[in-house]
Amino acid sequence: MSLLHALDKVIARGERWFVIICASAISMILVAQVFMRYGLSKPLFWAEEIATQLLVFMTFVGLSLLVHNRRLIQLDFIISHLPPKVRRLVTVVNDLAVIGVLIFLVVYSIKWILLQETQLEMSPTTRLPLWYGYAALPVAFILMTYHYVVAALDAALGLDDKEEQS
Amino acid sequence: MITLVVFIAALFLGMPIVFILALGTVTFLVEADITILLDTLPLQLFKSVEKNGLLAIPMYMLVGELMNRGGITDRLINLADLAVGRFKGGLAYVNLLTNTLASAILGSATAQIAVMTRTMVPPMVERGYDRAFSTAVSVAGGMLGPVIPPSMMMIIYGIVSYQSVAALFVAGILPGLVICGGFAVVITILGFFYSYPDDSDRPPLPFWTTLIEGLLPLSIPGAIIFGVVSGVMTPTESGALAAFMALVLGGVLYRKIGIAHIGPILTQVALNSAMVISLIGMATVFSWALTFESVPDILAEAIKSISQSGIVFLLLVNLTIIFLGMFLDGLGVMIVIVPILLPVAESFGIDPIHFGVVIAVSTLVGLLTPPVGPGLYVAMEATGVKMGRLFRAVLPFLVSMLISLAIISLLPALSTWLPAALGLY
Repeated sequence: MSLLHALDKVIARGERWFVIICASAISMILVAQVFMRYGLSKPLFWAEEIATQLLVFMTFVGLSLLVHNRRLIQLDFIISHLPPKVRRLVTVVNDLAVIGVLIFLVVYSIKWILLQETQLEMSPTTRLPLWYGYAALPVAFILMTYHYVVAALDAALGLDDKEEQS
Repeated sequence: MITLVVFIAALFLGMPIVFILALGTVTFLVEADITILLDTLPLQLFKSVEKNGLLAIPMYMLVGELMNRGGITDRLINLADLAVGRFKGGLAYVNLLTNTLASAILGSATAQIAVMTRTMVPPMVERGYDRAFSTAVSVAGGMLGPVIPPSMMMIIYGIVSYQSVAALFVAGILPGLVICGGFAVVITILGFFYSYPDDSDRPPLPFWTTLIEGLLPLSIPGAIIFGVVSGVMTPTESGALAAFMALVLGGVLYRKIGIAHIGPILTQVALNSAMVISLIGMATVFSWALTFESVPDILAEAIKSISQSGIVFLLLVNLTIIFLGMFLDGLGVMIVIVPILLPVAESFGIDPIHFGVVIAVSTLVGLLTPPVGPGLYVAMEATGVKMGRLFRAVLPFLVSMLISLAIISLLPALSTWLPAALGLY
């Protein structure tokens, strides 16, 4: 159990660094782009495409970190008024449903990337294969599934209540 | 039908909305027996996130985070003080005017309420204002953020509805003034009951220094509005320019932002952007699935069987949003509801720009209503006023907000005249 938690924390820390790097790269590229276009009249032809790909990665890896931090928008008003035992049961059911959705997304996004026509797609501006960007989906969904499995186990074993108390 | 049941059950069980949308999409495609589309679902999801217009979101989040770090509110308060601070009840109006100016910069209502209650309430209480009243004024003022440009709410509405951000920015100005005017009237009327202290005897402020120091931070939203409305820059580019200006202002001039702050700022920017963009992506996929069974048309027919009137439709939309806003984040409500309801609104002949302003205003009401009311909680935390007392003090402002919402809903010209006159759409 503690090994699972340790890995959960390591993943979250990695995700945090990853999104910080994405956010700073996007900001620097876009600021540089403004100065190149309006200051020097030499727009960077690759800037928007690279920034958009970074944004996709930042969004999905960021979503995974939000899962870990339990900071997603949800209706918790009703749940927080339930008695602890019922709440725990509802949380487990909920987490299992989300894990189901996530496994579906992992399987279907991998299937999509492995299609031959997907593998051959290339970006017209940078000549890079498009599936590099597509890979953000399965990778992030696998990370999210892991966060959810750990959280669901915690809820099922009642470990999350202890954490709240300490 | 099964989709609706699953959707509502998951919502009440507290499943995160992003995943409810994914679950809803899958359930709907299976229910409608078009499972062949499940294979293209990941592609649809990717395409709805891979849009260069979305790059504006992290840029404006960054501007907001950089400006939140302090150094600007004091200067704006002095600027407002210079204009309206020298008579009976002056500080209440200063609070309102500062909020109006700050909304151009901060853009998020809860962030603005947090900053303003902390800086404005203590000096007001010191001068002899009632604590609950002072807090209520600050909370009400925070409502202006998402309406007065440049506003994050309008940028996101522009992205999900494919409308011009420039037109939406300008469309918010007159409705923002209506709301602000309504609050000023409330303060004046309440003056007969509270007997405000006389603020005319306070020492005067140096005119030119105060003016220049106050106008400097306002140059940042000024640059965004000018860049977008004049059409010289895209919303993303003006966001990037504003972020750079905010960094120079906060880091070099005011020395409020150091190297140590960069990590936390970027984490906030990344996570808040991820929250909004993933929601936009999933909501887009969900409405993409719904159109295969022409659900928006069916919905429009169903509403039209109740009433043919666009006004009744707007009333229904407002009531729905206010109800949802009582429990859920306003931005989330808007992102989920717009792709589904905008086609319906257009079939009723409602202008999309007007619709955007109405939605932006009605999502704000939820910030002030219990049981969840995030605006109230942020203010309670900052000033220590109890929920019941604060809600009673906020109530007159809430009524004024609802009247403004009714006026804005009934008079489309209030939202559309200015952008049309400037030739923005």
